[in-house]
Amino acid sequence: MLKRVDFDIGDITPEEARRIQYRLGKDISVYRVFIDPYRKNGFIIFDEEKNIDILREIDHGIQIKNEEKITVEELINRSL
Amino acid sequence: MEDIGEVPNGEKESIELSKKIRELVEFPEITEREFNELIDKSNGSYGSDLPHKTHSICPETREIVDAVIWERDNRLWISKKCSGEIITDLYYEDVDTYNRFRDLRYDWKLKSHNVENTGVNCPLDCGLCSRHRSHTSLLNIALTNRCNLSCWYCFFYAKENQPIYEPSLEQIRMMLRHGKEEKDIGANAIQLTGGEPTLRDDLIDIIRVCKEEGYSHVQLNTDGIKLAFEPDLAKNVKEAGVNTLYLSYDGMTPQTNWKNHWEIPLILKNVRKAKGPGIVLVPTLIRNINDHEIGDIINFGFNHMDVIRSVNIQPISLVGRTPKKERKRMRITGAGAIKKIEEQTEGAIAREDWYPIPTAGHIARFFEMFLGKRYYMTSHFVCGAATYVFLDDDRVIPIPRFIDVEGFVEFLDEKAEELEKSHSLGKLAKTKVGAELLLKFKKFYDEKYAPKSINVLSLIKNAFLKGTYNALGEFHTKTLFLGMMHFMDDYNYDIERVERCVIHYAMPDGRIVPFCAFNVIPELYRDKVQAQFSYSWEEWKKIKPDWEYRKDKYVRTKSFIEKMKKSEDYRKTYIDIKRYF
Repeated sequence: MLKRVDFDIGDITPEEARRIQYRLGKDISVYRVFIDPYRKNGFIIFDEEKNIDILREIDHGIQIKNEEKITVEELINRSL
Repeated sequence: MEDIGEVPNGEKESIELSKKIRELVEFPEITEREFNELIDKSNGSYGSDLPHKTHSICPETREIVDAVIWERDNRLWISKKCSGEIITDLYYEDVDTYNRFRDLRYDWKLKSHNVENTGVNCPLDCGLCSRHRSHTSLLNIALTNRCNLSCWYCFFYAKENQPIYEPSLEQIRMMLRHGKEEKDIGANAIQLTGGEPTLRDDLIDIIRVCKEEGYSHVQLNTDGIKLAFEPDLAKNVKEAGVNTLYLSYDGMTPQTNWKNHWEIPLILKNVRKAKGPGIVLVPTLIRNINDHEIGDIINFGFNHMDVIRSVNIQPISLVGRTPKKERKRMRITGAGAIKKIEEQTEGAIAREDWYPIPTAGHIARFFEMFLGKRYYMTSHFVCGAATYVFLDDDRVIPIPRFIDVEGFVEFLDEKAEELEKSHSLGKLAKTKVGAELLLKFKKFYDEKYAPKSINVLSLIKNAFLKGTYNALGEFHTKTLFLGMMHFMDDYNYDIERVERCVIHYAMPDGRIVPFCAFNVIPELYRDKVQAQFSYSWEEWKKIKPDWEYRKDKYVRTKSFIEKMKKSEDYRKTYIDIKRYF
């Protein structure tokens, strides 16, 4: 089962956003990640068994807006 | 006597070839101040004058950095600042060709996206996002990471005890459907790749699924080894629906083409017997390794035009960390390859004979209006180039020698504008436009230089007016299509090019990713996703209890080489051939 976390984020430069997104994106338990430094928000979809601590990983005044569970199949179907 | 053999890996041949350095590219050094001045002077809009500002990726930190494309000594260079150091690499080797190609650029916009990422972090945001500017012209699906060769430089194929990536038939179907779902133009051409895709036992089923899912063009990317030794394989893949064999072919000797030099005569024989699929020879061009043989490779293509439809040259992409010394020795670009072809064909195929891939966009725009068929190829103008060459008895005639391509494209643009204004076309109006097209086409056609032994006008009329895949096929049997596609690497990476990429990979996680993101940033795309969807060695052995790693590997024996050297197939393939240049 995967977990999707949507969040708002505080002050972050485009360079910092890309750096964090790249670091998280490399993680094999992460299926999607996006940090928008302009709209100051983002989301991450990851294998919930890995228990990624988003607050710690992203920092920058992150506020979690929503969390939901989805399956890999649902993720794939939503990518159509 | 023991018949010694080995799995071809190219290591010995590469070491030997590396000793002969014919030329080095001298990379200019610029200071940080000069770099900043170039950036200040540059314009970032697509197709602007030089110096041109773009963005690139840092080979070390993977940060996205400002980059500038600039001119010196009739060459174009790309410079960027990474970790305090200015890195410069060769971008393109002819300013005139760059400018001519730039004028034929064509931009487009994809209307559907398979990720929510907006592209502000390009190229870390792939799949196809709202910033992407081209639909999928060719969709790649990697069928396996198993391979029958063990190329020394390849990071991709599975070594013993490593995970096996092999998407299921259901996953492949899903990936095909994702390609078709793109708005407002779905993918229509698929390339089955690997590893070595012919190692899959269910290859025929996979090809059938591609056809079931509505793909007109199915291309099999292969080293051809299985095709050489399984006489019915060419026939079977053809009957299942493969149109094209995209066949690795790096040179004319056992050294430059260590992958399949000895097997090529058998591959051609089997394809000939099966009457297809058409072969595209694919040389990966490397300076000082095989760039001196590119004219001979094209000549080879002309000699076997009954089975070879095309030569598609890929200047090397120096994947992974490559020291400057190596880049100076090996780097070649699309324009560099075009120059080599001009030299080695004694001007028979000159640089003016080539057109950038997005030229097809102008033609597609017209045919969208006229026939309702839509297939744009709107890559960046530097990514690829192509030309068609007729063989008129013994004379080699590139199509631009007797057709004014620029004039014709301009005419089609004007017509497309007229048609766009008139909204919908009735049957009568279409016939009128068709007649006008044919009438006006003669204006761009020079009978004096056209081939005499082939009715080119009729071929073109069929290909253009029918607009069908079969009509195109007929055109292809009379010409050798020469193509060029230069995939990028860390050093010449240009994000403007990735944004317009037309050759994509479908991934089992539902995303479709541009080629040069998939392969150049493997830690985010290729390697990572395949690791997510691979079988562990133990799982694989459980599913395939009879499978053995070593049985996948092709062992080329000394006795086979000796047999081939003396064979009629070898003589017919390599020795009794004509020289057209």
